Amino acid sequence: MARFLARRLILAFVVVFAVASLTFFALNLSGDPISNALSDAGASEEQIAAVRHQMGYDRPIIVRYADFIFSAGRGDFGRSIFYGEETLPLVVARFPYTMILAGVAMLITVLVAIPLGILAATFPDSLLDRTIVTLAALGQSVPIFVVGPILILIFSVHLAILPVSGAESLWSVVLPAVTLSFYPMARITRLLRASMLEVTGSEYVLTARARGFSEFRVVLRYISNNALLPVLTVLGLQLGNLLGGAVIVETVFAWPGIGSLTRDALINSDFPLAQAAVIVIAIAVVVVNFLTDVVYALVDPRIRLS
Amino acid sequence: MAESVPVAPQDAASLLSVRDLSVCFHAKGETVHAVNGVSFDLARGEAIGIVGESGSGKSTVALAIMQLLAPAAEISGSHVTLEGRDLLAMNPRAMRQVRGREIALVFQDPMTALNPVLTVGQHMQEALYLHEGLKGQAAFIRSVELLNLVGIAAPESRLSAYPHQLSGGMRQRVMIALAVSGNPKLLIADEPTTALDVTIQAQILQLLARLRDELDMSIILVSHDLGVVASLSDRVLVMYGGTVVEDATAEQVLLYPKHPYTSALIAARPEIDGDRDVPLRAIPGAAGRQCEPPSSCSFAPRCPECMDVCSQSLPPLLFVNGHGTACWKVSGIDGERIP
Ligand SMILES: Nc1ncnc2c1ncn2[C@@H]1O[C@H](COP(=O)(O)OP(=O)(O)OP(=O)(O)O)[C@@H](O)[C@H]1O
Ligand SMILES: [Mg+2]
Repeated sequence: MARFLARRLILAFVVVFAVASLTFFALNLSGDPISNALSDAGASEEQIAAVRHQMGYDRPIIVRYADFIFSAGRGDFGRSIFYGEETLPLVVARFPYTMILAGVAMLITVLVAIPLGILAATFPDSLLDRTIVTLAALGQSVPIFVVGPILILIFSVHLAILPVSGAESLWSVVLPAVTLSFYPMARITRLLRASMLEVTGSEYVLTARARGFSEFRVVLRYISNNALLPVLTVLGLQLGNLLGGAVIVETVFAWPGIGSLTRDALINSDFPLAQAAVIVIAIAVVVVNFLTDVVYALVDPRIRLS
Repeated sequence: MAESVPVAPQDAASLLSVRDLSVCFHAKGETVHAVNGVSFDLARGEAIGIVGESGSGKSTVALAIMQLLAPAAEISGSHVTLEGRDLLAMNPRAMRQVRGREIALVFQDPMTALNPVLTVGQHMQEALYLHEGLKGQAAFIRSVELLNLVGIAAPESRLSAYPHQLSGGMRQRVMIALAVSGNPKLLIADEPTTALDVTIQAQILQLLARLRDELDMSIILVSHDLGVVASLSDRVLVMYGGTVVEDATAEQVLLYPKHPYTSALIAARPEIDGDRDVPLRAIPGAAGRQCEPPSSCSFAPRCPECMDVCSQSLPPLLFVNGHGTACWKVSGIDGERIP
């Protein structure tokens, strides 16, 4: 157990370090944030050079990288160019919004996909099954930027029962969360159906029936139980995806989470802020994956944490 | 009590009576006739063996008795009666009462026949609650008792083990303990030792023989190995292509086989103390899938003693002194017997 934890900790560190380094170079090799920002504002060459010198952007990229890594190691992620404030508190302030959005989307996913997957597999090749499979294929292939606006048109504009965007009321989370849940919902419905069908054909299910258990019990204790194991892993991965990949949905619905913060930071050439946001997301994903592994080991007796 | 459909029992001691059982599978526009007109009787406390090569329909007979065939299966024109009640006419609820309590099933692969996420104890509790209504301490005591019965040492410590933590032989013992937890009158064991190594195989067969006496159970033992079947069974059914080709005592089948297929099966058995220079004899040819109900002897294409009549009409299973054979060569082709 201790070895498992130590190994995962080192691995987590390596992943976050790699993500941080990659984003640093990707951002800094793409251009110079100070020139971008100040030339738009109509500053002269001398003014720009002065600010670049003052903020250390005239140093070679390797020196800046070393500086960034050492400061970040001490928890200092620099100041936002746009806001002039420390970046970390800015990011952390947005994080709960992203978590709520991802959490609600995951909840919707689970509440819809699990019953649908079980239903489809219980009546394979029935009309119900085929409908569910078709809808799932559709849900998996329609892009988010199509789903979002359609939902807005229906529920906000046409029916006027849900807010269009923002985060003013509790109800604001519904549309973005539903939009975000489309893909994982479809994916998990299909996965659960396939995994249920596989388990249904297994000998322990036939043996359970031969022992005289009711169909309800067989489905609940023998089929669903085992069929949910692979689903769990994918749920964890999808939650990680939702934490990091909500940029489009947060933009479409003007949801003030990390996704829209990152987008704004990139548009404003606010490299330090974008950098901090990416690192926080990476840490969140690593933590979620770790928790998934722990939960998996808890529910599947065949897996040991080692 | 289970709903009863009165059908006159064949004789008073008869526990299970299978009459003219036929099963076909409809899959992908094709129909496979897996079992064709199988009949046999099983007395209380009797053990019969069913042997035959892969695909001969042994498991299909076992599952048909339990009413656990896949939805693609169709049972036609048959009776399967347990103490006079027709199992084929029972509703699903009544049939569930029969499963586990009157007829129990043990499968080949103990590796996959236990739920991987439940402990041995949880399996036992579940079965004991369903069959006997036992809970808590009572269920624990009975679990230990049952594991003792099937020869598991230190049963208390095994209750918390998961299936993957047990050896193959141990798992099969647990399977058997679960099977007898409902005090069944009949235990169907479908290749219970095939996945185990030879010494364990012998132990499991001994265990089944002991349980049969101690619990007064009837047993149907399914195997492709004539030796395994003969060691435990009073009577042996030899199946080929979904039909019973020979039905006699274990001794008769082993020592005085009449059907050419049975003779070939015995000849094909490797002898441990046999001469190593003698090559193993395989039966030439292969059993085909049957897409039509048989109208002639299905062994005819591979039979060394095949006659014209064999590929023209189906030989009936005829008994002489309790030794049944379905073979024109054996019964003779006097015109009256041909239906
Ligand atoms: N669910 C099914 N769907 C279609 N065909 C099936 C099904 N189950 C069995 N069959 C067919 O029925 C025939 C008999 O199969 P069965 O499993 O009873 O043979 P077996 O004697 O038990 O063989 P083995 O020794 O391999 O277990 C085979 O031809 C098989 O392909
Ligand atoms: Mg079989």
